[in-house]
Amino acid sequence: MHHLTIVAEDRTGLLVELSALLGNNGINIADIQAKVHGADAIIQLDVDRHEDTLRVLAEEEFHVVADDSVLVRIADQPGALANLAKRLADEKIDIRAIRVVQRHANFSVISVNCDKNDAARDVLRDVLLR
Amino acid sequence: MALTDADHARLSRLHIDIKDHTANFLGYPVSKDFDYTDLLPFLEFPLNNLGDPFADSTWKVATREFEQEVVAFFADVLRAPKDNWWGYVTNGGTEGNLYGLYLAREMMPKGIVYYSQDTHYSVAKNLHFLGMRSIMIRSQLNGEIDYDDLRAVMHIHRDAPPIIFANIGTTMTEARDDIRRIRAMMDELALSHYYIHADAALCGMICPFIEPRPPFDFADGADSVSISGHKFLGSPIPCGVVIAKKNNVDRISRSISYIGSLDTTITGSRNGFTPLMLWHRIRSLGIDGMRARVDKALATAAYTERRLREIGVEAWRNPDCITVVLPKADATLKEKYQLATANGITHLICLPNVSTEQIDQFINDWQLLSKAEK
Repeated sequence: MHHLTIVAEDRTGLLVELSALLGNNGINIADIQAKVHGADAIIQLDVDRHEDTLRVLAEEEFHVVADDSVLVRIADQPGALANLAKRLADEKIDIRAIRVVQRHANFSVISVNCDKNDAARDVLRDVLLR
Repeated sequence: MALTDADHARLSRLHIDIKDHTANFLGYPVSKDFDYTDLLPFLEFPLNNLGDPFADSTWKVATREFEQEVVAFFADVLRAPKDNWWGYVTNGGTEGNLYGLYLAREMMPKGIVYYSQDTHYSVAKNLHFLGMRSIMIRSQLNGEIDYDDLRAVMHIHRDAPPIIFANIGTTMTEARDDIRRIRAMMDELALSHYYIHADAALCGMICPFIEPRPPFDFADGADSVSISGHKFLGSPIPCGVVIAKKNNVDRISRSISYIGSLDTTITGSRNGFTPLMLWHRIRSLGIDGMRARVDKALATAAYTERRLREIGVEAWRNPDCITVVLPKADATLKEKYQLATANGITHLICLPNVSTEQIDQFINDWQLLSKAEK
């Protein structure tokens, strides 16, 4: 089994939609769990066919993030990303990559990879999604 | 051994399919108004432009002289510094972007790559290949990088040299990052050590022929530029050109002795046919022909935007762009016209081969579907 994390806009029937999408493509889901954070849902999946799952999800514009990524939610406004980067820099946490995963009218979901992900989670705990 | 009848029949079916699919597409940035019949005799040979196109090689079944002319043409059009440019014909824009980022990494191993969220997915893949640190910057609504955010984030990471991956035409909205403005930002922040790569896959052969000329090339501050050959110019095989400053390239040159060549290219063995196609295109169109194609494409885009708005579709486009953005199209239209959609929008790319008749057909189909839905 392979573990995957998806970030999606929360909506009624999202898990049913995901299950049907993967099931219709012959992908077996061993486990599926969702946590809702405001307008977003973070879904953890265990599936049997990793590559096929990635392909199917990408085709339907679902955002899959790396398992070790730190997921945060910040305001969608100039300076918010800089503030996030500054908080990490102030704690001497080295950023490997920052990526915008999902963008809404007022906020964005950001994936952060650092040299010290656990420390980054601690620093960013007020905006942490995962 | 000859092919069997079944094999021939299969190829015939494929030919018909490809011809049909080529007739209708409106959503992908590739031109189809080309004729390379003059070059067919060269398909008899195992052409291979091994290694650096400007270095001598013991391998002579090659088109290096033509490739040199192609690279020189692009260097001139992109206003590369006189006597300080180098380049080669790539397999497409992505290889050119990989080369630009590779060059930047070798020069600035501790650098951070900044790129907007509207950047093509292949760039994240390239960054992963190269193991480069990166920060994605939010985009403005039109797809252009948010300069305030870029400035603020660079300010925080002033200890790491910035490597800017600038989009000169994003995939969905053809937004162009302003390289002159980014370069001015470096001066404001007193950052003397930086690198700017321009991904001009589609627009590299559009922008030089627009007045006023968008700031995107070497004269505006780029250190390397990647352009696709199969997009605006058009070719049956994906290809492109990457141009970089020669003094930067020289720093990463390595001697590959067994082919008697200095090789700084990504792949080593390289296509010898695509440089011929680009040379043919350059020679047959000329600067006037290229400008005329740009004018035609812009006129078609203006027509498309106007016609869509006339029937109530909220279509828009960035200034002087050939990409018309509209709300997500119906699945039937997506299938028929091979339209790309992302984040709730669809686009039509009005390349020079797109006719107003084809646009009228699309508008007609859109209206019919809208009526059927009501």
